[in-house]
Amino acid sequence: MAPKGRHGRLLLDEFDFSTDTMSASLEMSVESVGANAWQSAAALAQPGAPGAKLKVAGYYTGADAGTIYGEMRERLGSEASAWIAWLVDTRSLGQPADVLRTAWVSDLPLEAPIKELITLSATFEGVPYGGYTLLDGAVTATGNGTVVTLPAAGSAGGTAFLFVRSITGTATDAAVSVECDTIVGMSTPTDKGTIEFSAVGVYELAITGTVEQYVRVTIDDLGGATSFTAALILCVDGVTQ
Amino acid sequence: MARTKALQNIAFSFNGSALEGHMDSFSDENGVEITDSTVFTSTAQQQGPGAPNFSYKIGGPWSKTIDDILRPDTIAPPDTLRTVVAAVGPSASKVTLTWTGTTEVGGFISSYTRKADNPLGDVRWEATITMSGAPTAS
Repeated sequence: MAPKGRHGRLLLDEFDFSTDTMSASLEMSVESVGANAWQSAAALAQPGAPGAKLKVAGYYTGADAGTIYGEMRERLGSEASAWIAWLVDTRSLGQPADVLRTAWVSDLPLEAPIKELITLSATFEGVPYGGYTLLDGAVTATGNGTVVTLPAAGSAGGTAFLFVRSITGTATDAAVSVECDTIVGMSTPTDKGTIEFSAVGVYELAITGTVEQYVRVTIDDLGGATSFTAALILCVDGVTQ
Repeated sequence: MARTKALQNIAFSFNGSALEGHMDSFSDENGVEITDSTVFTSTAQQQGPGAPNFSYKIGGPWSKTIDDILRPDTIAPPDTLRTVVAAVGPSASKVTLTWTGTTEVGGFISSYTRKADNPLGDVRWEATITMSGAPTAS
């Protein structure tokens, strides 16, 4: 059964705007490049460059910093890189999630129907990354996360995105790692890299080489914080994207 | 003439994966390019058939399974086009079009959209599969 829209999560840099979001639509497109030639029995085409737009609609709650409209307006036509992620189904880990990297807002109209709530809709442009959610929620202790099974092992690396949305206390070099193994028990995991952070925001980890089929996050260090709340999306080339 | 219901009578596979179990909409967009050969001595517009072209618009309730099949090709389009098989009709009168994937013939995903339009409604998907070359019909 398909998840409901309300099972999703919308992250914009360090902000979680899920409770202000009412709809989202991720449109991924590939240019169709004509390759017609003599003797062709039918039109010939090749896939060209991929692209993506994420359209989000939500409720207007003011224009201050930290509000959905305020933060999206800040990124309207902005050249400063932003990241936006849609976690489709937060009821369990290992569900698909997409990130637009170097994201910016190209369109941000407000609608104010006379008898209804003021709403906004935003179109984000950016470079698409597709992956699975390995972490989403509050972290209060070090340790291994839930093992997620990829459709297959990858051999061309990938990228992990860590969206840190809140820290309780002070974190100095808190650390989160991504591990993989060939068996689900992960008895001899391979460390694919560590992300260290001391503030809210988005952090990227470039992953090289083989990523085995079974993956998880490991919380190595809270950096002195009582807890932090974050999501990690692992994108594996040739497997999830 | 007997009508043909859609239920149980549509089959669509992309790159070896059967998608009909994830679909509730199917549109076969076959067309023929129109070539204009009107000249000054023409008494009316003169047009003729050019090359046929094929694409499919499909969609349905979203799942992780359908996302795993379609999303990777959209982010990293393949160099070798995919094998696509589209079949319409009951077994006694089924029409099947097959494109066997090569570097020139086959299908690719030209758009894949995932939508969550309603917080209380299902997440849905829709895709356009653009075909290159002519199919084998059976």
